Amino acid sequence: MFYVEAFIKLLLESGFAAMTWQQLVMILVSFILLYLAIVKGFEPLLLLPIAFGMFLANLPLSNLMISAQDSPTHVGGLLYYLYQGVKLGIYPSLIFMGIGAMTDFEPLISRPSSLVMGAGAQLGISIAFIIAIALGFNPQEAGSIGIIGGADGPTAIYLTTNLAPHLLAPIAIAAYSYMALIPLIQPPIMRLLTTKKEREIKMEALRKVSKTEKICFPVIVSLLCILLLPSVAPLIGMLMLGNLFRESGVVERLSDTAQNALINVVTIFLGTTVGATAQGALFLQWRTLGIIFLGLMAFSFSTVGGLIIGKVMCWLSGGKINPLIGSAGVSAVPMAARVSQVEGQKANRSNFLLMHAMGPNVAGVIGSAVAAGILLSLFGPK
Amino acid sequence: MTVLQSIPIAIFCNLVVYIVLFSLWGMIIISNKVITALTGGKRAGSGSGQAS
Repeated sequence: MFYVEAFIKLLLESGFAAMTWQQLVMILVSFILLYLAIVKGFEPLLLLPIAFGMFLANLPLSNLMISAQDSPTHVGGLLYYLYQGVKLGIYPSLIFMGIGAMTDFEPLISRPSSLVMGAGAQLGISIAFIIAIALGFNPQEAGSIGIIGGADGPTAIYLTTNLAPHLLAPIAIAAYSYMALIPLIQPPIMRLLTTKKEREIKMEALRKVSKTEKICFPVIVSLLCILLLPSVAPLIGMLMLGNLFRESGVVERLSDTAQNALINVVTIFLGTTVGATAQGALFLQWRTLGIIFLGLMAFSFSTVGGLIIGKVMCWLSGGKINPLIGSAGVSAVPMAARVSQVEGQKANRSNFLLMHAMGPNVAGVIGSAVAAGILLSLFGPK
Repeated sequence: MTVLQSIPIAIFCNLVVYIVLFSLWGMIIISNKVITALTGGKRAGSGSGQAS
């Protein structure tokens, strides 16, 4: 009898007895995301840890995200402590350092007018902001949702953590899912807004950029952007620090660490803990569907904005700039640039737009960070 | 916040992004000229000379 009672007690105290329907649904959602990441290859570097973090956090009584105050033992859960790096804005900034160490800004330096296309491709942030307000989100939530249009995961996570942390999981999932869908979302818009003649335009080769210019670039960008908009300091500062590691040529070990070991470690912590914030009660609401819809709007209008500026620059340059590269201002590096390349080659097989599109592509990274800084200044904690 | 109130804010945000990135464009061109002047015009393969 003792053993039967002990067994029943064990069952009643197990996670099976404590499971709620919301947790079950979230576990199923996590399985879908795992499928998308592993089988379909949707941004697996982030989506896999996000999905598994979601899975772990929704297993009942795991208490992985419990805070020290709420814990009966006054010791928080593992993922709660790792989450502090997200909450304090550390992980997104470190990921930006790794991105800076991986990024070659030469296409942008040799054609700095690409910056305008990068600015144009932030249109989706503004449009999504307005629509989000119309749907009943408050300004902080609308700003966090709008930044999905910047197509930059670390920027979206950084801003959302500061403005609307309760929306972190759906916004991160929407942002990374749509980034993976860029080859599906962008081409129809690109074909709609450009003529075949425009798509066939072959661009002149980019000039070579000196090492001195490449070393001065991160200093100049940091100086100007941070003086104009101090709130972008963590993102732009780390992005440019990483780039300086790369371009200086005297700190190979640091550059190698930033773009490999460090970014991989931080990606694991960031992804897993962001996924772990997807608790059923917060995630399973109608507003999550609204976020998914608004994310698509943000991406689409960002593509439109970049293309419009591309067309203006094509006209101003007398037909020397192919407007397709404007859509690469959506800062999903290098996916958006590759889409410009593919669409350019469909119109003209001898057209190689990849390096030309990398200019607006990396300009978009700076643009989305600047947009995040503006939203943080306007709606962030004072 | 109403939708009508959000529109000028959205326009303002977009405008500031343009201002910052346009300024950066200008700074890059100026620094390019300064570097060219300081290095005596010696740069790694000027190519087609397309600076903007």
